[in-house]
Parts: sequence; C-alpha cells; structure tokens
Amino acid sequence: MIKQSVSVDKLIETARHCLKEGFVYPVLHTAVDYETHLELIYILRNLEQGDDRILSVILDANAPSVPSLTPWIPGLIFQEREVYDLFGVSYDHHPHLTRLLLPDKFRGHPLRKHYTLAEGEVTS
Amino acid sequence: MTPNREEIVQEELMLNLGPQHPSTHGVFRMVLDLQGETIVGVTPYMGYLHRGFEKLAERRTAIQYQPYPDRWDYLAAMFDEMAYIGAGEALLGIQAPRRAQVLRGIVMELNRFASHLLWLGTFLLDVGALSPFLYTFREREMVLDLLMELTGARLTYAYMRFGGVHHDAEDVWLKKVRAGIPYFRQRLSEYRTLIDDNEIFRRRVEHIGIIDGTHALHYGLSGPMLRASGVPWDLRWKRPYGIYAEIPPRIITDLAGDTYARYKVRVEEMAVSLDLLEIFLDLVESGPIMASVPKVVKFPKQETYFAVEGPRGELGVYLVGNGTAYAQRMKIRPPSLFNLQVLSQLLIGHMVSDAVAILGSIDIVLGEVDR
Amino acid sequence: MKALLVALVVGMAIPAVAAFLLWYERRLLARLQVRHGPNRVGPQGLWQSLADIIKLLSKADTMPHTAHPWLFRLAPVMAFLPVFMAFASLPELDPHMNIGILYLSAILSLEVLAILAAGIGSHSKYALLGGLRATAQMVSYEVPLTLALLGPAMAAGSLNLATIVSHQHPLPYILTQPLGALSLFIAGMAEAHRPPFDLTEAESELVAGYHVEYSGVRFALFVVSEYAQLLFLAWLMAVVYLGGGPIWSLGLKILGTVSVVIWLRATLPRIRADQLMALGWKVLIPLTSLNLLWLVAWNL
Repeated sequence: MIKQSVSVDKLIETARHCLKEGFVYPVLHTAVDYETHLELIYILRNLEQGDDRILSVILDANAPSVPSLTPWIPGLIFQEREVYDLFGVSYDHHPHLTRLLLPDKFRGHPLRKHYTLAEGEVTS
Repeated sequence: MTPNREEIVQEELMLNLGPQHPSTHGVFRMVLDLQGETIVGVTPYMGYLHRGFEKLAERRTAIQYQPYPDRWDYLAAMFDEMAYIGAGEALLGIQAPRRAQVLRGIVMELNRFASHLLWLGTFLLDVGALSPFLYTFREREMVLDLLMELTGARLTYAYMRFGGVHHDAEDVWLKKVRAGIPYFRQRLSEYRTLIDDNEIFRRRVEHIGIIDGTHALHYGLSGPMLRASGVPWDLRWKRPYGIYAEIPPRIITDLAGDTYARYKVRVEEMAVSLDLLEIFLDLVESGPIMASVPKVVKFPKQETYFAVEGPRGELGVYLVGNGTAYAQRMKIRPPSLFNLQVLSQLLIGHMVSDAVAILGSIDIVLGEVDR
Repeated sequence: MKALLVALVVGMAIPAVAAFLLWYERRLLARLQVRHGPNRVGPQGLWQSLADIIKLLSKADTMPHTAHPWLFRLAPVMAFLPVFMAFASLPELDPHMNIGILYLSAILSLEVLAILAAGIGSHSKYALLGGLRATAQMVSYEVPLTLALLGPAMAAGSLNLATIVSHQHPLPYILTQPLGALSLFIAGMAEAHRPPFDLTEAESELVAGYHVEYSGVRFALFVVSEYAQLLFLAWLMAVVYLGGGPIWSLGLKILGTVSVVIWLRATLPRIRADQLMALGWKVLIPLTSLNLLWLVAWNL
C-alpha cells in the first residue's frame, strides 16, 4: 500500500487522477489527530488490479477544512460526515454536512485528543 | 359538484420508521416522504447505538481492547475479532501458527452461517412469512451451541488473540462440527424448496431495490450487496488472509442486482460456507495454537489496514500505532455503513411495503454502523 | 319466542366457538413452527382464550381525545353485528331462509363500514391508511365471493343454503365446480383479512392497522368478530361446497377448512397491496366467471 502525501489544494486534482487510473472504489476515509496537526486518510482501491492507494492530507489542527470529494467519489458521503461529526473537519461543497452519529445539537468533537468525557469540550 | 383538478390538494405524508423496529434491524430510524403510496424521499438517522468504540481503542491497551471488537457487529463477532487481531498482527509482525489459522477459518465460517441464518429468518419475517424465522433460529441455536462449547460464549467470543486463538478445539468438537454439516445442508435445501420459487415471495422481492454494478462500486458497497450486482469481489480470495490463501475461490455473483438477487447470493453463500467448513476440517493438523508474543504488546509507530470478508461485506480496521501499548487511532470500516449510503436510491419510487423488504435485503447491523 | 331463544343461545355460543378457534389457531400455528403454543392455562391450554378475553375486558377504556366520539365507539359494534347476523343464513340454524345467499352477501358487505369507521374515527394517519386499504381489499373481493356462491346456487336452483346442501348428492360441489370452490376459499380469506391477505394488520409493522387505537373491550370485539367471521366462512365453505351433512361430519369439514387457512398462514409470505388487487380483479373474477360458464355448458 503506497501512502501518498497530498496538499489540500492538490487534493481534488490528485483524487481525480486516481479515479482516472481506476481507483474508483472508496475503502475508507478518516482522520488521525496528532495534536499538532490532523492527518486525513483516504484509501481508494482499484478492483481490477486489486491494489490500494492511500492519500494523506495534513491539516492544521485548529481550523481543519478540505474540499469534499463526494462529487467524484459518492461513496464518501457518510465518511466525510463522520469525520466532520467526530473531528470537526469541515468539507466544502458536501451535499449534506450534518452530524452522522451524534445528536445534531451535540457540541464538541469527541475523537479529538483534547476532548475528554469529564468536561465535554475542553479548551485546553 | 366535482372539484377541479387544481383544487384537489395532494400532500406529502411523512412516515417515521424507528428507531425501534419490529423488524429486527436494530435502532435505526428512517423518515420516508410519501406521495400516496410511493416513496419520494428518504432520510436515514443513525447513531442510536454509538458507543464510542474508536475513542475507547485509544484508552485501552492492545490486550485490554480484545473483548471490544466482538461487540461491533455482534452477529459476526469472529469477523470483528479477525479484523482487529489481523491488523494488530500485521503491525506486530506476528503470524499465527497453522492450526490456529485453520481454527479461525472454521469459526469464521460457522459465524457466517449463523449470521446468514438470522438474516434469512428476519428477511422472510419482513416479507410476511412467519415460520422460516423459527426454523432458521433452530439451526442457529445449534451453531451457537457449537461455538459456545468451543469458546464459552454464544455471541461475544473473545476467542482470537494476537498470535493465535485462545482455546484449542478437541477432536470431539471437530467431529460434532463435521456431523452437523450434512444436517445443515439438508435444512438449507428445504428452505430453498419452500422459498426460492414461492410465487408470493418472488413477487414481493423481484425487481425491487435494484442497484447496478458500477454504481455499487462508486458507493463502496461490499459483500452480497456488491456481488448481487455482478461484481465478483470477495476479500477471501481477492485479498486472501489466513487459511483462505490455500482454498480455491468460490465467489457467488448474480447479475440482477435486485432484492431477490441478494437473497440468492446469501443463500448460496451459506452453502459455500458449509463446503468451506468441510475443507477446513480436513486441513486441521496438530500443533500449537499460539505463536510467541511479547509479554507487553506495544504497537510500533506504523499504520496498517486489514480487512476481512464478513457476512455483510468488507469489515476493515485501520490501525495507527505510536510506540505505546495504546493505539494512536483505530478506525473501523463498517460494511453496513457503506451499504446504507445507497438507501435512498434503492427506496425512492417504491411503495412502503417494499421499503421493509429492501432494507432487510441490505442486512445492516447497527452495532457496526454506529460503533 | 322459540326463535328468540335460539337466537340468544346462538349469540352466546358463537363467541365461545370463536374463542375455541383462537386457541386452535395458536396451537396449530405453533406446532407448524416447531413451538408448543399455549399449553399451560387449563388442560392443553384451553382456557387461554378465556384468560385473554378476561384480561381484555378488564382493561381501562381508552379513546384518543381527537377521535370522532361516536364513529370510534360504534366501529367495534359495527364489526361484530354483521358477522353474527350472517349466521342466520346457515341451514343448520335456519333451514327456511329462502334468500340465504342474497342475505349473507348483503350483510357481510356491511363489514366494510365498520373498518372505515374505525379508520376514520381513530383520527390517526396510520389507522386511516390501514382502513382505506382494508376497505379497498374487502370491496374488491366481494365480487368474486358472490360469484363463487352463485355457482352452487345455480346448480341447486335456489338461494336457500339448505337446498344447496340437499342437492349435493352424490357429489359435493367442490368436485363438480372446483374453480368455484377455490375462488370462494381465496375470496373468503381475503374478506377475513387472513394471511397472506393481512397487509392491513401486519402493516402494523410499518403503518398501524385500522384498529391500532383500540384496547380493552372494543379490541376484544374486533378479535371476536374476526374469528367469528373465520368460523362463518369455514362453515359456509363446508355447506356450499363440501356438502354439509350431520353435525360430526360438518364439524370435521369446518375444522379441516380452518386448518388449511391456518396452514397457509404459517407458510406464505404477505401479498402486497397492489398484487392483492390484481389477484382479486384480474384472476378471481375470470375464474369465477369461468366456473359459471362451465356450469352452464355442463348442464346443456
């Protein structure tokens, strides 16, 4: 599995390039919180070759925002909503960016490292 | 005095299904917008069973987390375990000994059979046939009894460990499994005789909820949902893991892509599971069931993605280690969540009675959707 | 005076037999499903229906406050009465009713009003939908039901059910008019909302059936009228197509018919609303018409 680093501005271009090469199957999309930064992971698969490709986007931990890939990879609608819900990453042009798992009125993004159960959203 | 056409007002009716269903899919809610009998809009709501499994993985050591995966998709617990253990073993560089791999294969196929039995019963219940539910559960009880004898539990086994499995199978148990297979085969053929060509059943499920292969690919569908639309992708043979690398492929596909196709694929998969069980039983050799594993298990600073073919599709774990015993991040790739993405497309244009049948044919378990 | 007494006795006997049928269905269905069914309450669980009815009768009387005051209250009674009145046409209870078939056809069609009343009176979207569907179902299947009854009437030359029975020597009409028998059986099941035609009640998985808002006595009335209707249709089938006969033979025929109905419930999935309508209009009506044509041709 090759992991390819992509910058935010080149994300759409790279994704479309992958699609052209046959990597149309969305396996997974998530975020990893490293406290200093967030890393977004996209795994795309080419079923003919049976190959996976990983795209990694590094984001600023304070204001994480990327363009949504759903216009080209519809299988990411729920995954992007999930990352928004649990990490607070905002996706531009996502058709329906609302929380997926937590109640709509919930405040805070629990999968961030600075979030603890004791106080809800902790600003530390 | 008859009113003019413009004066007859048609309103959309909003119908709320769930979160508690009589059809046993779990706590899932969907709001249907109806125009008369026809569905014109679907809004799914999930999260009622969110238990924070991914956050928990960051707060428990690798070993402490072992009982948790069983509870993601509680109907296919062995697959949850395999996904987690497989990811961990990939990071730790451990390979389980052969006997353990064969035993893992056996319990996974038994689990798949049990999961499909439950699905079959509830699917038919959704369509209105009351009795098959009881028959399939009778068989399921037998499978669960087998698993209980081996692992001590009926649903949440905590059977697999990094490096192998926890309990060895006695010859008596292996004989029981082997003896059960012809019985299950006979029952399966009974079900097919009763159900496959039943006129009313076919009219209820044929030509509804159709999705074509390309569409299915772009939405990340997997498992029977994908194969019933003609895409021959099954991780057991396309990305073999464990003992499956030695087995000749048996990938079941159907070209119709409708609810009936998904039914046929799953039933055929049950037959394949029984065949695989026989093959695995022949492969059992004596030997250790655990490899040597360090006393303190720490995930190295690497990441990996490990996926298995569960009854619902591709169940994967993306594991990121940070040098400690705790995971930096553990992401679960739930097949049911991806399969749900096409729900509105499958339902729109159909009638309310079809909605339940189509939802049943997707075979979702909220435990893994919500985590 | 004697007639009044008979009516009273019959009126009290029918709920008892309906209760017995309730027990019978639960036991038979259970056995077909690898279960036991009620077998604790009384010998072989025979008092189970009584226990259930006592429970229902002792419940609080509830009514949604937006419900239509008298439609809601009247509906269970409207469901109960026509079924009971229909029994008057049966030859074992009154051998002299010369308009037998006409009477029972007319009376049974009143059943539809009860369902409409329940659906509308409950003031619930879901009850209304269920009620409308049930109405469409019952109205559609009345035509094949009546046509299926017409065959034996023509063959016997009378609408009197007693005459129809006496004309079934040596062969019961099920053998000489099989299509008609089949149609009566199917149409009867549809009229009685029996599975596989039970989408209005099982729709309560999705949309609640027309009697969702009912509990206690009112609900008990619906249940009793449902089983009484089943009893009536089985009896009708036994009389019109199976040849009636002495009480023991008639009883066996009725039980046999009911058993087949229960067997179908255990076996078949539910039929969808539009498929149900198609079956009634496009299959059963041609079948019953064919039956009549066959009868005419045979007699020529």
